[in-house]
Amino acid sequence: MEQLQIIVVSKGLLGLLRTCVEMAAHSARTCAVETNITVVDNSSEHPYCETDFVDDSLDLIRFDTPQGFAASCNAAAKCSKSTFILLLNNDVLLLPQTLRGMLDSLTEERIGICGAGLLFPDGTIQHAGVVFGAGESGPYHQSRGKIPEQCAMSMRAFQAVTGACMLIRRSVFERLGGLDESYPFGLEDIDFCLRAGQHGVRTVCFTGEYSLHFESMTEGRIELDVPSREIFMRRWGGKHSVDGDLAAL
Amino acid sequence: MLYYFIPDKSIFGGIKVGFQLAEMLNDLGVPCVVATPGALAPQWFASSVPVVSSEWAQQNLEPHDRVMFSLPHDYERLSHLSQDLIFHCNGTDPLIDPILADKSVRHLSCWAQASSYMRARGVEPTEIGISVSDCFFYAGTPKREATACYMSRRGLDIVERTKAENPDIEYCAIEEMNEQQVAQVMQTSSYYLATSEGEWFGLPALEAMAAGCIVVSVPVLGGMEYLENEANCIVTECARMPSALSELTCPETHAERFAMRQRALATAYNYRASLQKQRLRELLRGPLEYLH
Repeated sequence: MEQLQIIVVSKGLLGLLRTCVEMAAHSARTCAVETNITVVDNSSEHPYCETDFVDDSLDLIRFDTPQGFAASCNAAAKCSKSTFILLLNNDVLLLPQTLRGMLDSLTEERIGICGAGLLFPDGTIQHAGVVFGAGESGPYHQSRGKIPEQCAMSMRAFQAVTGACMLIRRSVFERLGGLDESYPFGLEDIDFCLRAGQHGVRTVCFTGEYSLHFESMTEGRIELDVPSREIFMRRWGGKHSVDGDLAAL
Repeated sequence: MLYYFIPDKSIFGGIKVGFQLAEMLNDLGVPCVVATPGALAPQWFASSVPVVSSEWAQQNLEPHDRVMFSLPHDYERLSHLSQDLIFHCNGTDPLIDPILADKSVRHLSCWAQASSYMRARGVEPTEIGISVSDCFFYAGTPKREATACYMSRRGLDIVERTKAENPDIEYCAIEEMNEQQVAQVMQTSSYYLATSEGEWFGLPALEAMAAGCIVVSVPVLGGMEYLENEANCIVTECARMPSALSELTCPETHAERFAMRQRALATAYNYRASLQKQRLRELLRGPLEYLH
């Protein structure tokens, strides 16, 4: 049986994390994969302990000083040899069929990454694939803030999807050396997808069922967006196709 | 992996045609990236094809990779490579003759005239077609009846003479616009003046037809496969373009214009991306199987 490692990087917010982990485990039970969950405690003020969770097979990694998302995920990925890796934010609540739909989306070997349709608590779209605008606009979430029923969704390929809920073939993750740790926090997921695309790896997004994403719940998280964006634009500015807003020439 | 080498990101039809093909091949299961100098991607049309730098690509090509190109200048840079070379012909400049003479190169053509040109030089190409981006297709945007648009890159003198003889028409120059902006201008214009003499195919005129414009065109080469004079457009010698527009726009020809516009749109539908993709899908089971 194939194996799936679910990596959840988290700081504080234990109640939310517990719900996240339980719903992910429930979603995984609908899939024909053996699942293991790795929680990365990214220097929570009150460290998590294994008894905090119902699943006693859950692995817990603790950092005493705050790490970037990339470093946390990369460290966790080394704890497993699973076929697939799911990067999951602690504020994403997976619905029962989501994980199965994502795994089923990896129909071909060259489809190496699958994102998930995610909704804000008010029912509007948080994520349904990432598109890229011209020039300084860079990557942004397609259809964000819209109502799903009003958006035509197709099983198209994207240049990137959000790392808030990203299923990756381990072979792809290892080939690319994991996420790039030079990003403080944010956009390392988009960087990863773009690099994967350059190696012929295809990225898709499963929107057959929308899970829930509260987004940026962790304190201090948003402040790290700016330096991450600077790195991203320095590296990728003008070097991706434009499938969002074109340049106003 | 298939690497499609493109010389730059400028506003030139061949660049877009290359990305369109790369996109379709990716959708059809052939991993393909576009290689450009410095990995710089065009910003003037929509695509989701991954882009790599041509320098990096050349250094990292593996033996089983394939190399595609469309411009003759790239052949000089790429011909030393040991990988399979594939020439995607979307222009019949005699500069391509050395490529056609190279027996180790595989050949694709985009339209019938290009295929004929290649056959005349002893090459049997696989004709893969060409397509109009979906954003051009007319969807009922109100049109300004007396508006003609044109691209000013070539044949500007013809436009100036046409303007002088038809002062009641409003003219809109399509210059330095992205694809969506071009589509918007075409969808709100009634006429498109195709003034580039000897154009190989003239994709903009076909895009204008998709956008519901009546095309008044000077004779072209490959584009004659979709331009049917007095049926779906007016094809006229350069000197006659001003009077051709006058005749076309006179009030008495309203019904003919309506019919011509409908036929133009019907013609453009034969060049929908979905149809080209279907054609490619079939070719990938036959003569293009080597791309898998």
